[in-house]
Amino acid sequence: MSKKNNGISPALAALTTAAMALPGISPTVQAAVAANEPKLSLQYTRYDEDSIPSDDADSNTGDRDRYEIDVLQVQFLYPFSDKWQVTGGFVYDDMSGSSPWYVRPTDTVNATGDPLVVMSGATIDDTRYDYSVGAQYFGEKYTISPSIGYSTEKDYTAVSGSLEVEYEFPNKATSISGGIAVSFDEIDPTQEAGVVRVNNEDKENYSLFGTINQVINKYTIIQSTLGVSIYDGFLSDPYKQAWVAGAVLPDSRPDDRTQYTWATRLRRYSELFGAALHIDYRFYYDDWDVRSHTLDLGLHKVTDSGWAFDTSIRYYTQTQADFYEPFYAQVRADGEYSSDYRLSPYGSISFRLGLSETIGDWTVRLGAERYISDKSYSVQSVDVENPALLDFTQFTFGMDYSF
Amino acid sequence: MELFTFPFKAMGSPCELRLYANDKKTASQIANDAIAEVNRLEIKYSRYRNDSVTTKINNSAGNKNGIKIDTETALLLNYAQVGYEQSAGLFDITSGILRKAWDFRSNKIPEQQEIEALLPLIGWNKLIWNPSILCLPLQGMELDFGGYVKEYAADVAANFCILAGIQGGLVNLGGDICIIGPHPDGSPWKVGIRHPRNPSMPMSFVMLSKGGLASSGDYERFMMVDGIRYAHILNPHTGMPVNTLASTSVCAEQCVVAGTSSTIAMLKGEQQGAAWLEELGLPYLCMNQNEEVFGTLKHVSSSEE
Amino acid sequence: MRTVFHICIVFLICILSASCSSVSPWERGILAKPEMAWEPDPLMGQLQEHVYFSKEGSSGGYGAGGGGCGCN
Repeated sequence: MSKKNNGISPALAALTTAAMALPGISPTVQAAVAANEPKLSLQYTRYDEDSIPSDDADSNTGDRDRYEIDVLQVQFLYPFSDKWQVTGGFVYDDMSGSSPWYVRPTDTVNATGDPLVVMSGATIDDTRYDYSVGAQYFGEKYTISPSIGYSTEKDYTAVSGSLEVEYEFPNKATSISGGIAVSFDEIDPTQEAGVVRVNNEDKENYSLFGTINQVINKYTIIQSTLGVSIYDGFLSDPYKQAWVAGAVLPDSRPDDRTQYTWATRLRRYSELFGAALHIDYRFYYDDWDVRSHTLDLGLHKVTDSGWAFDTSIRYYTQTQADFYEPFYAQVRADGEYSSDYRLSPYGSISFRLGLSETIGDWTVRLGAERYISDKSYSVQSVDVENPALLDFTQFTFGMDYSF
Repeated sequence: MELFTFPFKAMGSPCELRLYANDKKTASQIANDAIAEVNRLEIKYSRYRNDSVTTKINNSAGNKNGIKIDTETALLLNYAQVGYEQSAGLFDITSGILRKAWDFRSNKIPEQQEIEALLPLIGWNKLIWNPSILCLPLQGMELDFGGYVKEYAADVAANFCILAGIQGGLVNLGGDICIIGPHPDGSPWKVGIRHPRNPSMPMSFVMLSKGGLASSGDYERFMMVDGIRYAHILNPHTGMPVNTLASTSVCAEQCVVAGTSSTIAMLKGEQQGAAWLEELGLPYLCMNQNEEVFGTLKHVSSSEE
Repeated sequence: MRTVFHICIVFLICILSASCSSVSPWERGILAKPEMAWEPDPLMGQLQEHVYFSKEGSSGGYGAGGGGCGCN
């Protein structure tokens, strides 16, 4: 509009600013703003893996019971102003149980027959403490979020850091962000008599990602992220072994791995259901030849009376790493062996339910998840299923308090 | 590109959406969604509906705990606060309660004590609020969003169309205009401004290719008593109608700012109102009680047509 | 399972193409609803990401993650 003075009048500037803040006058991607008030969140989770079925286990194996983990998460959010907020997080894991050690063929003489899991002998008990601190700065156009973390266990230490910058385009319908993350990990495996294990190894991880957020219409928003992550160092599992032509050798993987991801998330609000549909899809590829697809479909509903309900189904499928075998009938020239189910071809389906109620400053939350893996869920046709595929159940109870 | 016109009724006024689009299906889909937004705001802030936010707020008056408010309402309150501050208290959404004394259909001037009884219930600065809670401390206090929700709705509808990909068009909510974009050839829209003494006739035309245009006048609700015009432009401090301009039209980037500015100018009266608009630097057009037209907004008077 | 995968891909393509051809953006009122957040429940999301990270063969995808762990 034409202005008589060079400068805009303070009264007009004040009215215009207040008008621009009204929802609907300027369209916007989910505007990044500092929280209104400090918030403390606590969450307890009981994570319970199904035991290995006796049919799939070596009859002489140790405990067929797999991990049970108690997880306590604490998070504190403190906004200093509408420009700055800090978060502090703490996670405590207490795990116990056995873990799959290696897989042998039923007929060890001819290296044929169904594979059987041999479990680690002794029950493993470990605790993990994970501390993290992050900050967020909300500028006019930029949001900057640095964070650092430290995680420690008896046999493992990780120091990590990340930095993310988000830029909002003037049309407020698009924003882009990019970030880097690094992690330096040290592994110092617990030694066991009669088992050859490495001592003091380390690995590094560098990740880069770029994201675009786009408002599609007043009901729909979409986000797409490209990422690359490079691992370098000791990437084997020091507690796993592989059955190789009658011998049991340490799990041995390449010492670098480059992972590429393309992830897209969509949120669409349905006036009809008064609920938001969540669709998350991720394609993953790495230079160990593992490819995976993850599709997560969810429905989230929040009622006026403060109840929130969500349900989702997640489908995951991956192909195997090029050096993976459930067991090896012959030695490999490159010396790479792993029978870890994580590198095997399989798929999984998980179901989740969540319920929460907000009353005043308190929110109380319950959640449950059931996760089932199977070779038949793989997009690859799988001849031999890894017998150590994972099924688990978890229950979560959490609460938030806003000050 | 074809021009599609969608007339509808909302907020007690005849309204219209004019959109340039490639086909009717696209145009009507977008128009329906934009009109739904206008209806949503009307329903949400109507004084006449029992389930509206306005009614819920007004019913909570006197409750010291206040009432929970949503983000949109909080931002509208924030806007009202700025309007109140910038107008030295003339723009006050708590003053709607004066309608209990002033019934412009009765052709009767209310008794002074009737007005004075209401004055203690008026005053934006009496409200206690934060972004999630609003408290009207005195029983009987009322908020009336009617003074700017229509203009806000025009902005919302226009913005919705812009984001839906419409490049040319306009939203007209009972004379409050928000331009979506110029005609496909780039030429501006020709918009009529009502004649305050003959509201069905335009007093002049203005050319607009962006932004909003809002008018307020003494012709919307008024009564003539003994040859004197008493209009609904009420001073919240005195509770009395302001002897003021016949009409003021203002252009601004947002229709809601145009509307608030014209309302405040009307409340300030002829001299001060015009001076205030000059200070804002917004193009305006006024007609005073002698039917003299003045202002900085370029226009073509209808007699020159 | 191949068919399931193909159905998923086709579904995704439909969503993407629909969004590209359909109208552009918004309204903050709805988009700002808590259930429309990328991660409506950050602690739950953090936990799930950690579980999948340590129990599956692939990880990452949604921005900067934390450090590793010896979880096996």
